[in-house]
Amino acid sequence: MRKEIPEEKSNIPDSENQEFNSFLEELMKREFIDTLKVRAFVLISIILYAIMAFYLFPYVLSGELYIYESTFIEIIYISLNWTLIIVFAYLLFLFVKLYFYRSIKRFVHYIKKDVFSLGFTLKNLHIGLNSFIIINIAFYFFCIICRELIYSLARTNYFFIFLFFIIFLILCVFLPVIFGFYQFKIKIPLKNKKHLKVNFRFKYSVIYDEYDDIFLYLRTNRVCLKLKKIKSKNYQEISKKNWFPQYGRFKFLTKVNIFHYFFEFSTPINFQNKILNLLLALKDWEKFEKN
Amino acid sequence: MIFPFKEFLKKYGLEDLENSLVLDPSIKIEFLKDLNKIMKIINKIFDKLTNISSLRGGQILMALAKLETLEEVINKADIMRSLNIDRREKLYHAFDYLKEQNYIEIIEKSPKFHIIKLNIDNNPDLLLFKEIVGKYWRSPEENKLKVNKWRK
Repeated sequence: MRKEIPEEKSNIPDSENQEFNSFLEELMKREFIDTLKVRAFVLISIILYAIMAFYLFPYVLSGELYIYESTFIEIIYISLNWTLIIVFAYLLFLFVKLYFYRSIKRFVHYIKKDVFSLGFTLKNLHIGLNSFIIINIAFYFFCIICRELIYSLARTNYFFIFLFFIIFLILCVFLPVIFGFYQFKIKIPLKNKKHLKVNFRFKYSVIYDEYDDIFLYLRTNRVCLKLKKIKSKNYQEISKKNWFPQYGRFKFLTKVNIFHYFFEFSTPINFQNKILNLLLALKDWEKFEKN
Repeated sequence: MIFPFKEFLKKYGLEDLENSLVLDPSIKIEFLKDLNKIMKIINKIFDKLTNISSLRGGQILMALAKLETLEEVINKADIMRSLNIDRREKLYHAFDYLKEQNYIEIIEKSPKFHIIKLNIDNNPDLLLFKEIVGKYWRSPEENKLKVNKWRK
């Protein structure tokens, strides 16, 4: 029979509680910074799109190719229109992201705790926001450069305005989410410019509407060149001693790569042990290099 | 490190019943070294196998065996610390399973203090397991200290 949780919780020593509290504090700080980043981005994007509207919107409205002499009130009106569009795009981005990442977010918290309890931190968690910012800015500059073409197309048929909007949504909303989903990886920075990278593969279960299988592919940074025979031999020895898999997530890429890496495969249950294995292997490698 | 057991038997003629086994001091050292190697490999196999299962029962047994060689009284928190697990909920099912299977004994001294022991009376093979793990296995807690230098 399962024991009662409240009774068992009281057994946890104070030091562990403190550790957990400090972890929570750090988490809250990071989330606060992330929120600030988002707010700042919304502000910047509003300003950028207001400028873009100044260039683009009057021509599309009038349907004629001439310099639009806009008054101050008209500019504000157009900017507000564009602001609405970008806010809508951002909200859509958040919604699509939420749909894609609904299970991943919980899982990342689980992984974070594991890594934190080992005394390490996480970095570079790609969840699409960076891609959203970069693609949006790139799209803005593209519009500025090709504005003549866009105006002339919009002048011929209003369907192009709709097409332009669809392209905008695909490029600036859906693409960042998909990019974020596939680039979703965690980096655990170590000393001496070393790091561990964690890649994910999620198997979706239609029956439970959940990710029922999560596979984690761990990899160190470059160990040595494949061409160096002595180092390669030693790499093989360490790799075999620790039962490391020969290939990473993509077998072909590992074969083609000219560098050796230490790979490890794990599930969330034994994630900590696998990280420790990799770190101990790195230690062995460092010993070999010193000799 | 590939070291088949058959090779070990052949090297020292352990299966040859006609000749007696004579170990000079130098050969004795080598013999012990080889034996250590085999034990280390067995320990590694234990370690890897216990990591395969989704239930952490195997890991608990390893931690318990290790701790029993160092201390007399062991409770759930000790095992949790040894395995570097942050929440006790992660081990509930494993403890229940091991208790049901009679691999461990849980003595409830008080509602909040439970002593855990390997059930060697019912499973005498666990004695060898305890000796091998106690001598050769490094717990995640020890490994965590070893990788301290990689921390930023």
